[in-house]
Amino acid sequence: MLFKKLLISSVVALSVLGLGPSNAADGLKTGKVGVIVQLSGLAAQFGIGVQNAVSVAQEDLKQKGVIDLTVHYEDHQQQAQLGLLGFEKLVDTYDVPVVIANASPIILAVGPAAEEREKVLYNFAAVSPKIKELGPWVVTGTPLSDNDSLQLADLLYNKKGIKTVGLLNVNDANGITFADAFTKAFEALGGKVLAHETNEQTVVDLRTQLLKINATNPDALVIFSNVPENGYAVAQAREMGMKRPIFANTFIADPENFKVAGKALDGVMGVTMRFDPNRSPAANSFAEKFKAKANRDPSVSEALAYDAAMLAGEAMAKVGDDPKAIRDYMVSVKDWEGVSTTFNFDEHGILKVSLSPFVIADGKLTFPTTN
Amino acid sequence: MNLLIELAVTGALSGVKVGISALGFAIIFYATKEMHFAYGAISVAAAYLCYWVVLSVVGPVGVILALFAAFGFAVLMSVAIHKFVYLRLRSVMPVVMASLGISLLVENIVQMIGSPDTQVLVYDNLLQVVDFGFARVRVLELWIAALFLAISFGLDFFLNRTRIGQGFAATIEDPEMAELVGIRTARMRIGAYCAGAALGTLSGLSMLIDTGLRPSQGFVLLLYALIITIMGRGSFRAVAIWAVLFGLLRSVWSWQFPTEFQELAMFAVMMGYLIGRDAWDRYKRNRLTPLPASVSASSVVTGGV
Repeated sequence: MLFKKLLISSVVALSVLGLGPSNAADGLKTGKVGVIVQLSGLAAQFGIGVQNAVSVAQEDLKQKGVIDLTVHYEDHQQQAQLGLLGFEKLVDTYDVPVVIANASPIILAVGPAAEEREKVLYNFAAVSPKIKELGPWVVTGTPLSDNDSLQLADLLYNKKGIKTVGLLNVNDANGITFADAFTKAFEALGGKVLAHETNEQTVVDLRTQLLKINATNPDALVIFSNVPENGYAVAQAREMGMKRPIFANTFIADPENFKVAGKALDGVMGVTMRFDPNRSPAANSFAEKFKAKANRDPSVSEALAYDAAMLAGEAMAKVGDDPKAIRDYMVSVKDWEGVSTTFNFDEHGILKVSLSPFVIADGKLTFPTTN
Repeated sequence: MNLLIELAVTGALSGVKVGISALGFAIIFYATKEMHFAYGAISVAAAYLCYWVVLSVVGPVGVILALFAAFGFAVLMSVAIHKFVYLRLRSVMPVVMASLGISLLVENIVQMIGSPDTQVLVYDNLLQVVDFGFARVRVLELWIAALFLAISFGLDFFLNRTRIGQGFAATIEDPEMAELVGIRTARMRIGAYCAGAALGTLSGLSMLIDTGLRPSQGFVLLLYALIITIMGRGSFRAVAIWAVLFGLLRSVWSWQFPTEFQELAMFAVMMGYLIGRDAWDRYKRNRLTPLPASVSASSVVTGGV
């Protein structure tokens, strides 16, 4: 009798605790992921946008009957130490098999911990080339800056005939990696960086740097600053009467920049991963749902965050919650259709994607030619 | 040379923008000795309130309502914090902790009600660029510079030429003595909070139109205001001058040196000034006062005959 009671109690307890891959009452599988982004502090707008994108993914996964995904959030405030603490908490308290995160300092700090704890760290927005060295537990669903900068240098030198540039980048890991990779690639082609200026994070008056760059009379201005500082840089360059062409990386296309710089962004060129809401019905649906939540259009990073949650959810639904199996599933997908692009990963677990040259016209990204 | 002039103009104008908030913070700090760290967050919250009202009520009536709402909110909130929080704590560290807590609270509430995204009020007339030949400047910046000059000179006139102003100056100089001679120092402190909050709101509003605002920018506003208030060492004239110098030197530094070190250079200059000024004051206090010529050396030694 006692044995029977113990047996029944154990079964009940196990089902309540939800050990192992589990199914919800309605038969839908359940899973959990952690997300570490900047939810407060000076760059909170990025994290809140990601939260909206992931929340759309949660709803879509459930609606499509793939998985009922629980998402646990941690706030890194752009600080590596907080990112690491958040990761430990997600793993120890919630036992998540996958953590989705952004920002190079965070990924570089958390990567070794992910390897040690054997959990998947999915990077959807950090661009430092050093991420390649972090090992197999880091899956990168975004192009790294060396790729981005290489293609931008090629666009400037070979396609636009620009031989000298003035360079402005944010003085953080992200901006420095973009600028270094660009300088290396541009000078390898025969180009010259006449002036290289930096700006601190969140500083919105960049006229000192722009005046110095202008004084060297380069053929073009190249900007690798954060959002919305890169928007301010373009607006202030135009106000100063700078007529030379302006180039930037993916981040210039963030909706926040259109808000602060408006029409001044018209004419800015660069290369980017193309988020086209019309590329598929899923992309269109995501863009609409995101707009309903955030009251603005999604950026490329937010589309990539959505894809990260969708891919993680699908992996968990297919292979359960074993981190290694999830990681193997993710990096082995072939032509997986995300809302941002078609996903294939290279041998380092990094998204293989070709970038498209863009020109901003009438407050929108336009793609005169596509790769 | 052209670059130097452009850098100087740009720097001075950026200093002027900081100057308005710095004067507001200085008025509060010098009069009350309270480290009102919620200053930046409240200024930004007031500007947000203005933004929301302008969006809700279209037209000039909306703008007037928005200005009333913004200034009213900042003044009432600041006075309430002073009366019901700081005065009850009566000690430096608890006030600092409380003000930091309120600052975080206000910032997070603004972020929850609005969003962490940048909000901008676009007034094309104010954003037009005026070309002076040696520099191109926004109309808004000219207005801010004019406002800063009016506030600086007005404050100077108020403190030196009016009875209330002299009472206020006495409250700053020696509150106990001011109380003894019949000055209502408690009212002066409330007045300081009202004036300081109004200037903070003005600064927040100029940011809203100039560059746009994010809830987290209150911290940046506070930081520069605090630095310049410390540099002012109790003098509003010094606060106004240091605000302009702060922007000017930071920008002009970049003429011949790397821009990434401009903050470092500025802080080195400021630290040097504070240390040098302190040493000079100590030297003045401690140096021997020369004796009057009529007193002979022998009479001093012998005590006179």
